[in-house]
Amino acid sequence: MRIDENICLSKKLNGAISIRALKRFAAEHDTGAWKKFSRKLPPTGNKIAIVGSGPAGLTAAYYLTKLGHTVTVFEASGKTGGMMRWGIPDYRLPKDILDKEIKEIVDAGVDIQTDKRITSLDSLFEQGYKAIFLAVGAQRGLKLGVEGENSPAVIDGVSFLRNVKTGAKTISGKSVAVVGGGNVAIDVALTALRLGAREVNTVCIEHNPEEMPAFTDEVKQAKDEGVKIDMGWGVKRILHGEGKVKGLELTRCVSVFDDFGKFKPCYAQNETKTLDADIVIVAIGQMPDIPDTFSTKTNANHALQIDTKTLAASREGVWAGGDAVTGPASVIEAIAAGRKAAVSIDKYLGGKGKIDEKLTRARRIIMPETESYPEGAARVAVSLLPVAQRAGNFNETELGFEESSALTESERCLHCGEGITSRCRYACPAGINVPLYINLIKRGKYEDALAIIREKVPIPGVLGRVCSAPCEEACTGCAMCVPFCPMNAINANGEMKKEVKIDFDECADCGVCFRAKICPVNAIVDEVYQWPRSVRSAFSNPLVLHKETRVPGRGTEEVKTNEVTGQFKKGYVGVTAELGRPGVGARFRDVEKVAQALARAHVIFAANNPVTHMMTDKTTGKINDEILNEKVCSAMIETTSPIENLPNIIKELQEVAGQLDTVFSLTISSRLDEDGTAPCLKILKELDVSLYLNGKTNLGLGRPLFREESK
Amino acid sequence: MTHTLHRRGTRESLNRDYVMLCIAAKGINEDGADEKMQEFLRTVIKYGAVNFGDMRTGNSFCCNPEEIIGKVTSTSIVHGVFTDRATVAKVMRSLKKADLGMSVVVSGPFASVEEACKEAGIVPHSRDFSAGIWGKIDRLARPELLECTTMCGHAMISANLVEDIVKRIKAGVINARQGSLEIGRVCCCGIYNPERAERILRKLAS
Repeated sequence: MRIDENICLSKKLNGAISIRALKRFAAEHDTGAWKKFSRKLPPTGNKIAIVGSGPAGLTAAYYLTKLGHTVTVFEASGKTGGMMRWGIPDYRLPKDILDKEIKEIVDAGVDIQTDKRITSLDSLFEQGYKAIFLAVGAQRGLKLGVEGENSPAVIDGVSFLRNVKTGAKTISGKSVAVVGGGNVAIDVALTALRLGAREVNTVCIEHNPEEMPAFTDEVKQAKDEGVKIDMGWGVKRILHGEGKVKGLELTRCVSVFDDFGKFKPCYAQNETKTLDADIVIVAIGQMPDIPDTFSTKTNANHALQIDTKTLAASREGVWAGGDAVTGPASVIEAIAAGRKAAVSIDKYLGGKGKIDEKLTRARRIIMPETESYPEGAARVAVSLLPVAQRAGNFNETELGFEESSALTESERCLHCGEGITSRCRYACPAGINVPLYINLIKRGKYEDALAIIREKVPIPGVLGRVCSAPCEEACTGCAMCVPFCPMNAINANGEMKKEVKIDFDECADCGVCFRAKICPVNAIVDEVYQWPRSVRSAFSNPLVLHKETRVPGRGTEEVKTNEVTGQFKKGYVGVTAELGRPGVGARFRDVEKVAQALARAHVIFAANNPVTHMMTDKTTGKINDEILNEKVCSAMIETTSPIENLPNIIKELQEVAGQLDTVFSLTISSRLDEDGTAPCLKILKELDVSLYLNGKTNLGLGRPLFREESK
Repeated sequence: MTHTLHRRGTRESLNRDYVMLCIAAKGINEDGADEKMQEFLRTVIKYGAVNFGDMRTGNSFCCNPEEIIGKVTSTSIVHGVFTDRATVAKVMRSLKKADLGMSVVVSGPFASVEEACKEAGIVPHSRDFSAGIWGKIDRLARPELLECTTMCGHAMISANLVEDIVKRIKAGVINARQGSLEIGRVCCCGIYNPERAERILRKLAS
């Protein structure tokens, strides 16, 4: 199989669509038109308490209020918004945007009580609340656990950002060391610069921006603004002198992950250096801080334990979601949790859990009759505040799209599968119909685009600035063929995700991607190859008839026509090993190993079997060297043998199984005795070979019967 | 070959999954086999097969019945899929009465198929037993996905496709029925059981 790169749509997409920026653009065109479609159900009389006013809590509150419940949000701090307010700097999310969208939620009827720290859920139940949603976030900064950490000049990243918001932190003229490679660390570093720090050095154990958990564009922004990032170093201890912090002793981080991809940093203890600093800010993550008085179960990470389907916590009438459950995650994931909790709580209170409403009549993607994609047009850059204008203030850095930019960017969208099967369509955790709102922007219907977003999230303007945009990750330029490949040989992870390629060596030429007719521009080409590659399609494509056997597929008629052919006679047993099945694929070098093992057990290879035809020596099972590296979806070695030989065969197969880089499905075929029993079953039981509860039964309706039967 | 063997799943799930196939023995009874296999197809359609097809032409999701029946040749292998034992027994009885002289194989739980044979007055001739998956089994897809993928014995249903469909169902883009039919398109021979797959997908997406 091959993809014609001149036709493939993916090549026409030069980088993912700026979906987040388009979301912001739609939010900036809010005329309130969506409100005329918005409905609130009559009061149910049910009181619901929500603990925490972050994205999860506010989302659940909004939808539950619209379903007619009386919802009160309890916020421990003096202002609403949770981590959106305290953890995201104003230059990324201006306060007025957050305030405006929270006001919409309050206007919907949500009661928010600030400076109300909840310490007992029992007390809420006693006050008549019938359901409680815990959305308390993950507020406690993690510690490094190194010498010298317990000093007032060492602070965690989240506390630092919170203090800045309350005006309680001044670091002008000081040298700041930030520890961590995530988004919070970058936010801390950029905030420190804006507060007038003399210099900001960020150290992290990761070795390159791609390895860092922080978004690549934010790392770039930090560098642009003058943050020095020292990668590949871990903190050995925090240095003190004269009662003050003096800096960090660092040790070289050799690797961040172990061989299994698990986070397990490894350090070269003898390679160290020091970094001077007046203030150290540790931003290596946060964890939930759940009061014991909640009497809810938590896990080893101090996060609330829940039923992942319903978000129900360990106590009756209590649900939990957002960072309090997942640890630090994205705003969109918290919103998705808020939506899920709203559905579960409404059902618990006797409702149907239907939180979605249609806020516009625009439901369909409309494509021009003749679509012309701006081939190769690069992703439109979002305007940024010049670096020189960022120092000393918290003015918004990202300026969003002008109308012309938004239109150009939306025109780049390929609307893969006309939006129905676009990968971005189902990437959003909250379920936003991404291709539809992009299509509406493209058609100049900005209000409708916003309505589509608002159907799933109550804070679109916030998301347009801080969404982690998993939909952009999914935007690979069609790539609709990728999941269809049973051999996982179609790759959409090329540079800039703009190329979809078939790995020629891993492709088994089964033809699924071609026959599925999934490519919207017919770029998939069903090539005919010469020997030895030709064996791939012969074995993998079930529509290809084997020249020798005239049977489509991969084997003989075996038990299917046994009453006519007598392939498995009384006193004999059939043993078939199908290499590569199910769904792994096999190279002929593995097929040969199994064939040789079977040959050692003195089986008779089926004459009309395609694998047998590939053998150069049917007594040893040797396969033609020319095809040993060829890969097929599966290849079937079919044999017969006197039944008393079955133990030898099983022994050889058990030995060779451990030497393979693939799997094989094993079939035992048997003529049944007059009483309907299969003589091989007793032997297999003695050999401890278990059989599946289902299988194939030849009804014996074929004629003429094999002569053994005629007698 | 054993394309209707090695289907994976729970007893309850497999009890709703039966594949019947009809084939001629090459060089022995293939003369006139095309007409007999056409008769087999008409029979399974008459009894409400949830899928049917010919490996050479396609299945009931991508081809209409007339096309599938019209293109049957003596080298075809034709199939019909059913979801209950009682119907399988009726089809068996009908095929026995028709006396096509073609080989007929039923895949399904042995206990249920045996009962159906008794009801139809048929004495089974031979069996294929599945002795499991051997070798580097850590390369397999997770068991829940295998329940779907093994419904195509030629490995045309990829685990990634099933996961992709589940994601779309979860997102509310398509329902389990639509997802099942989309998967069914790629299993060309018509042995995929769309009703069973729908149940599996619904469970995976819940």
